[in-house]
Amino acid sequence: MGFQASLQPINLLFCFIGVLIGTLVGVLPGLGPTGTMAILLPITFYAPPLSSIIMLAGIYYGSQYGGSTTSILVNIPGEPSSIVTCLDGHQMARQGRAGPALGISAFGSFIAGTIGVFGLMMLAQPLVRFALRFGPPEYFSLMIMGLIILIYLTQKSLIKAISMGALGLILSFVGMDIISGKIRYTYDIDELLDGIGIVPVVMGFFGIAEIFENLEFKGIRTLYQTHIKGLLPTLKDWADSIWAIIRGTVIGFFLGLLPGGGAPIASFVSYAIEKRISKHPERFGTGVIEGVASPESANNAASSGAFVPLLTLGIPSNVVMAMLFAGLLIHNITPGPLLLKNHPDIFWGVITSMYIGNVMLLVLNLPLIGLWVQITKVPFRLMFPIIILICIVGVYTLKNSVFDIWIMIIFGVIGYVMKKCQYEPAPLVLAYVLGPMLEKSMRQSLIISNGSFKIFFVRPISAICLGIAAFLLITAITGISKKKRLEVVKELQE
Amino acid sequence: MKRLNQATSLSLIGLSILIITSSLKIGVGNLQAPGPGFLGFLASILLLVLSFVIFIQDSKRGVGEKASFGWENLSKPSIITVALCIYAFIFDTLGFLLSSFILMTIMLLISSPKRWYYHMFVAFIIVNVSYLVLCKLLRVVFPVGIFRIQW
Repeated sequence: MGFQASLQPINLLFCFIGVLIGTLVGVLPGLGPTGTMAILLPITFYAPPLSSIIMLAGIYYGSQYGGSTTSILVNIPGEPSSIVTCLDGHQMARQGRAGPALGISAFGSFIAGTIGVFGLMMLAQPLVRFALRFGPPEYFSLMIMGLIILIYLTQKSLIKAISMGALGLILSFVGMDIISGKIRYTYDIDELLDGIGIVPVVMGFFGIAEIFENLEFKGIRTLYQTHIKGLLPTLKDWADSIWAIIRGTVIGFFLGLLPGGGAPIASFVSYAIEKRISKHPERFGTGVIEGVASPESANNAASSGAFVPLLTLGIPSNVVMAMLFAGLLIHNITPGPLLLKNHPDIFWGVITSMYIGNVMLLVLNLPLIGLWVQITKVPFRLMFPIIILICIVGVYTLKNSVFDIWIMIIFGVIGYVMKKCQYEPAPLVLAYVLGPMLEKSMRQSLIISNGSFKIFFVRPISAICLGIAAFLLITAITGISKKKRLEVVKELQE
Repeated sequence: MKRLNQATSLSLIGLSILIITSSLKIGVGNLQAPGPGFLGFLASILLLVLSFVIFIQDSKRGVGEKASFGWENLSKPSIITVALCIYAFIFDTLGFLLSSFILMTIMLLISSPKRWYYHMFVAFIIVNVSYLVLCKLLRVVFPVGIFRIQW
């Protein structure tokens, strides 16, 4: 059924558009997959639901492929998940081995992405059966755990990350309360009766604010001038990197599964582990092919793994999945355990489209390297006005309302100031998306238990989730994990 | 930078207090029957406490770096923000084509003010291509403004 749906010409076209845009976004520093998906969300109104989700998903895993190109050639990561690739990838380019670096990155991504999709297929159905046993307390606790994990993994201040989560929750409550029908926090602004739209908020935070940040960059981006030849890795390259690819795939997939996990963390962890177990760890950072193969495999496997909690539990595990979540809601489709039962074509169609998308990406990335290299030369001063115009148009087409443009501008400025003050936007966006479900689950749970919070602790799954959340908070607050995180960062810098 | 951090913390404190009072007005309810303001009240209490802690921490800290928020960094984002605000004001009145043309020209001029004729030409092309794709192909409806500029 999945292939039947995904092999339809319109879905193939949308898959191609998604992976093409994703690769382009990955190649260009400045606009990430989240901002791009936010910009293209309004377009999904006009497309069938499956096609829309296939396109949005293609943007996500496509961007993981594209991010490595600028990491290797320009030493500037196109995406956060490609930061680690800069360490060895660019060194390989300087040694005249840009071709094998790009090649192993593409092949590793393909292998990891394909295995990741296979893993998704294997895990999805058992997890759906398990998730059908979830009630409101389990959902509430799982969402809390997801938020806490995301906050725990913050690179910056923990207190600020928790504040952002709290702010995200508050923003999600603006509008009409669906249980009581009361209007909340609108302050007599009629346009807020439906709440603050997620699209203007995300476009502001990840589109406008990112552009403002990039406008500060005054340096000259120099492209490493080399004739890129020999994209096919040699037998020795394969021998050196195959186990790194396999390890990166496994690590990436399981880290992608976790709420709060995702491609950036997977790439860092995979690289750190590869370096630790290597017989020659001192060579990492000098241009070893394992240093490219491992993180690039991990980030693609993670992008597949991240679909598992979204499609089976209805919980977006990171901000990008939150965008996909929003995309499904636009078409009145609620992801979760009932998605497989009510919309099996969408469920399996998305999964099988990822196989197809990975093949398309391998074809796009290797022969078209020259084209992507030329695109990196487009000056940002020409790109950003077009991106802003696309953001404005995207936001306006939601409800034909100038108010949404204002929301985008306001959140763009807020996002820019927040970044300056070291507040991360990801916890806010995830809390904003989860807020309504979190509130509904909590209130239902308290009604069931007659006001007793014990319900969250006597039910095993709920208790385990809250236990993990509490453990992570305590370790974060006591600074144990911060030391470990700083150690990992220091190791990567050496 | 320290002042900006403090201003941000104070803004969050102010917002928390506003949400707390609004939550109490609409009704927090009780544990047996949580009201519409229940979770908002809890979240704003958390935000208030944390923002206060951040404010105290920032007050104790030294001046810290200020380079990243000097005028040379702030000029372009500020100009674009003002341009966007003006754009939002004039969008319905002047219509999509004219207001977008003005906005694009300003944004292109920010980078190199000397070549204004070139930037106006590029802005004209971009806006009209966007109009073609969005209005003619995708049938998006944009305001035409008081001058009724459309094609």
